[in-house]
Amino acid sequence: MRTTLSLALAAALAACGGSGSPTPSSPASTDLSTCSAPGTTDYVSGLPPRLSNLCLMVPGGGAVQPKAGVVPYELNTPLFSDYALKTRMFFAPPGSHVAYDASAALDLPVGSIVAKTFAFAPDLRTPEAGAYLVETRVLVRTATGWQGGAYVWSADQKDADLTPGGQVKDISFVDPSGTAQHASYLVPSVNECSRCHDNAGDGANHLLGPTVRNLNRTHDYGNGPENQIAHLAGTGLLQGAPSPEAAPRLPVWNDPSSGTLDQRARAWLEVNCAHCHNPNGLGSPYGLDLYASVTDPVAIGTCKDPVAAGPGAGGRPYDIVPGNPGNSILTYRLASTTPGVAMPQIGRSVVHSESLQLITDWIAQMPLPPTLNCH
Amino acid sequence: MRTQSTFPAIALAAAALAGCGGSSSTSASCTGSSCVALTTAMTEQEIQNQLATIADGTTVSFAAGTYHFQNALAFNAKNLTIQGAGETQTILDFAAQTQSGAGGEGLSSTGDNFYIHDLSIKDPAGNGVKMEKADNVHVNHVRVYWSNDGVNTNGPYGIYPVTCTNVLVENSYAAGASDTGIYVGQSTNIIVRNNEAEKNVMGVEIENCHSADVHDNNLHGNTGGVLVFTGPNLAQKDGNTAHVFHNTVTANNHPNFGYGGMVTQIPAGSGIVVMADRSVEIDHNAITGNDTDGVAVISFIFTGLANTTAPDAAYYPYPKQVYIHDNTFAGNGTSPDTVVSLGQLLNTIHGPGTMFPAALPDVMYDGVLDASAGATANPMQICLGASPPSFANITQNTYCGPLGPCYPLNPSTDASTYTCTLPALPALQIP
Repeated sequence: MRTTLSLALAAALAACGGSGSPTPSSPASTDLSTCSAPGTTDYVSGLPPRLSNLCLMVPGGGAVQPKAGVVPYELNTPLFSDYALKTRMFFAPPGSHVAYDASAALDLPVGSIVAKTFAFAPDLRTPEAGAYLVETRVLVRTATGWQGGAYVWSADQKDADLTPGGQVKDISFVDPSGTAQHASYLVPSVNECSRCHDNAGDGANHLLGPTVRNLNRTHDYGNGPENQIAHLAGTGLLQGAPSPEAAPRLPVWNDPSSGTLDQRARAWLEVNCAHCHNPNGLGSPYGLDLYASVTDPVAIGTCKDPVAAGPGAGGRPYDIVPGNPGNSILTYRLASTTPGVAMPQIGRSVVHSESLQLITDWIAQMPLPPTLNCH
Repeated sequence: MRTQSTFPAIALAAAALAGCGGSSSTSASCTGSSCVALTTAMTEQEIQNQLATIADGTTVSFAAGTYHFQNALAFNAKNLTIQGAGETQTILDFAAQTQSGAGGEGLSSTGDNFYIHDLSIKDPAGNGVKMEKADNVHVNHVRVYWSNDGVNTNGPYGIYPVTCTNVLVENSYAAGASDTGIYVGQSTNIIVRNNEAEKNVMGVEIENCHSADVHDNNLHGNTGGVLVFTGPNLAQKDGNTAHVFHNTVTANNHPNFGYGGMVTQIPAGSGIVVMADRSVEIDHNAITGNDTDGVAVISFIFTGLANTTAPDAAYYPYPKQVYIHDNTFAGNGTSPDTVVSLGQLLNTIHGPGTMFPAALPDVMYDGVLDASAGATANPMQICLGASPPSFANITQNTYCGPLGPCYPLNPSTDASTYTCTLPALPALQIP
């Protein structure tokens, strides 16, 4: 069942048994052919009920296209979300400036909106055939920080409704390797946004994906491939950036030409795990730090005893046993879809066999550090 | 910073509901603008939409009945109260969560001043109720349980405060956890009292904590009753000051069904286990019918894991200042576990033709000494009071080497060295 805010309100009123309460009309969509981003003027104080109210993107054919003034972007190594097809874009108020930072995500100013749209197709080997939109997650930079929410696309694919409580959706598809999959796909609730985006442990949401390192790649803005860092510097948004060649670059997890096996595995772990597993994140009690810059082998789990894993350890002794992926908890948890065992904890209900293979290969070739002794 | 006014329609819905609280026989008891009253007539979507946007200081009141959830209940506001109509009257059933990518907990909270009371959490896919990085968390009359006994597909922890300060868990119940029923980790100033735990691997665990009182709990039918433990490679070091008293620790003989983590080392039939913790007092407990041992005091060395586990320079692997007195023991140690390796080790000194043909002593101390602690007779300050129970030092610090394992055992029942007292620990209070 698709639940809108108006339905929730109607149900609430109905539960009171009150009479004479007017039934509010459904929230209105915004005409995307005439609006300009951001269409709603008060979005900074609260997310509007319909995605079209923000006037960020135009849906069509199971995809979304950014409106004028909205900047699309791609990442070198993305978060895995049940094989969902993702389209990313952001809006920054005209004239905005962001100071270059080699490691942190773009510090977009108040009034900015970052949106990630999730789509599926029946057979992801041919994603253009029968693609459909599922949800669009937005983060809005308000005066008090980033506020998150997810919009669930309607059956007619014309607009999406704010769904603050999230949803679990049954989605069947054939994955890019030809394997039939069934996902219990999670549209996150507002509170679940923070399960990942409060990566600093300060009770606030933060941007995760668009770091300079992860953005340092080409994208076709309509005039052929162009480096995203150079493009953002060229528009005047990004201030003080070096040339793309001089800026740090996160490897593409599945492109061996972009980095060594170790570099690509560490990039994948950073993007998919480090928002919790860092010294300040939600996973901090467990003592891991999975940012790619970390050099202590124990901090990334080598010969590290499990703390609170319980069945998540799968009877295996250590997070990473060098040379022995079959005895490593890390691969056990990536290969599982059981809640409480599966990692990441939320947002993944099917196994990503391609990244599991990457991590398996990485552990298999990992030498035992001289200070450690697990096997 | 996240307020109801951010989402006017939601706020209005919540206010509409709150306004009718108490007017219906199925409404739970809370009223006012800071109350969200929920009933089983509502869909999960309606409930989740409301709970996603609640403000600091909200009371969430679940009327009597069973609620079914596919998604987790995740909270991060402060000063929340989550309440039901009674611990067996309101049931939050998460059985459907087993098919979703919706996380490791049934219910979780990261806000300070969190109070949850008078409800059940049934069949969560992962942990039951987790409270993290919060000051002042209170769990009262909450039941967390899994329908299937003894399977490692049950979640690890029932009631699970971690990295919190000022923790009170009372009058609650946990059953079926594949690690620990009531687990408190890396927290400070903790009281766990008047609870019942059964059919878990461990009943109660205090891990890497500072200052915990565990008293008047009824722990029975678990693999082990209580584990006070400090582990390496964690953020909070130096687990210390645990007072375990006035508990009933009965027949914790459930086969160990853990599937990872330290509790898989615990032999079935363990009463109270202290591992590598400092300043622990165990007194006035009734410890009966635990088939492996009544009380065990061991080092991390003795587990045999120190050799392969990544070293932690700040980790102290020995138990120290452990004071065991005035407990009641009966019928413990008669049939040590034969499955878990530490149980197998104990079986080498138990049974016909061994030093302990009938039963192992009530208190088993591994006797592994910190070489740097000095050459006194009792450098680790293990004390059994003026009238020691039956006792064995099972290695006398031989055969273990610097990193274990310890074999063969070399027991001595001479308690004279340990007939001593330590200062009593003061009672804790939650401010």
